[in-house]
Amino acid sequence: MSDEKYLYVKKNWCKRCGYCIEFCPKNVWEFGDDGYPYPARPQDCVRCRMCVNICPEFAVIGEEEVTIKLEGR
Amino acid sequence: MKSAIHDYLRPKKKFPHVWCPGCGHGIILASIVRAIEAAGKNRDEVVVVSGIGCSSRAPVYVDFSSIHSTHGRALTFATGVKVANPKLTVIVISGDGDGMAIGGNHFIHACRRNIDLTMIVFNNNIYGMTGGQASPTMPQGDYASTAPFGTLERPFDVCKLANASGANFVARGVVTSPIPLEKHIKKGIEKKGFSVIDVAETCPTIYNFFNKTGNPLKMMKDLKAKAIPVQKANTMTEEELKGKIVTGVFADRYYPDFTTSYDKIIMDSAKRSMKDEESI
Ligand code: SF4
Ligand code: SF4
Repeated sequence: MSDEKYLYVKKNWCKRCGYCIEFCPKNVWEFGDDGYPYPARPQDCVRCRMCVNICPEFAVIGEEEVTIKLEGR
Repeated sequence: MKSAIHDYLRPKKKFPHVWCPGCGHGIILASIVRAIEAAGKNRDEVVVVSGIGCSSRAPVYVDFSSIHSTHGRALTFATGVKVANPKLTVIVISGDGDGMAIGGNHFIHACRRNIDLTMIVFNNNIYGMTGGQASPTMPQGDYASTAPFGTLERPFDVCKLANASGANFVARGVVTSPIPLEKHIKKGIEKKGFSVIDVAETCPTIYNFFNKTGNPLKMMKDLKAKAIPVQKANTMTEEELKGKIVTGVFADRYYPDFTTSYDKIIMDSAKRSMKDEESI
């Protein structure tokens, strides 16, 4: 099983709408200095999947295998 | 933490997709894919049919058999697929313009026919792709390229229309709550007969251009604030419900569906002709 707290944003798909940040019930996400969201407080994540489900770009990924599979796309 | 959508993206498609930043279509598409998976459907037995419009581009991104058909006619192509092979799970993706205006007649008759399709209406209240015309679900008084002084007509309520026309399952979801949305779609897929899931979403580009509704995030927050579950809505007055979007299940019936009734006619007449032969 992959890392319980794995959270990743695929930056070349993200369009920076900010939904992941706004709709996370645990306030895990923030915009980074590069303008893209990153999990600033991953320890607070309760694995509700809101960020994954609300991202219109399929850019929030919760499994390392998926990140690897989509590498280069 | 699984996200079904990543298992179903067509390998040769380019991403990010064409939809504007903050457009709700991606959220609905991912919810449809999760619902198909949750309903235990084999991807080779699922057909996704769409018409024309921003929303109708959805099937090209996911790995199911698909038909990207003509404007307003998604239901007619889907009806043909279903009647030819009733074993297939047929999903129809349509926008509010495509489905309720150009295809409005097909819509009411598909409800009346109660054919076993699941129609998901990507409802952002405007024609995005074709130039910002007012759609049949645009709130009265809102602006569009064809309504520079505000639209004069009252909007269709997709769910009321579907309910009155006889669809077996009618529900409304909203993109700000993707899990209930997925559950409604799953229920629609599992239901024999015609299912309609109206999905309230935002168009942060064209709608915003004519109505100054704010950036994508503001529009999403406003949408969330407007959504009221049907149980709560039942306790509110018409005045209080003004401008709100009622979500939940509005019809869940068990009328016989079209292809089952059709098969029955074939079986009955086959039996009759066998009897006739025996009596000769
Ligand atoms: S929801 Fe998706 S597209 Fe929007 S900011 Fe977050 S990762 Fe980027
Ligand atoms: S899974 Fe839920 S709690 Fe965890 S980061 Fe995503 S939205 Fe926040």
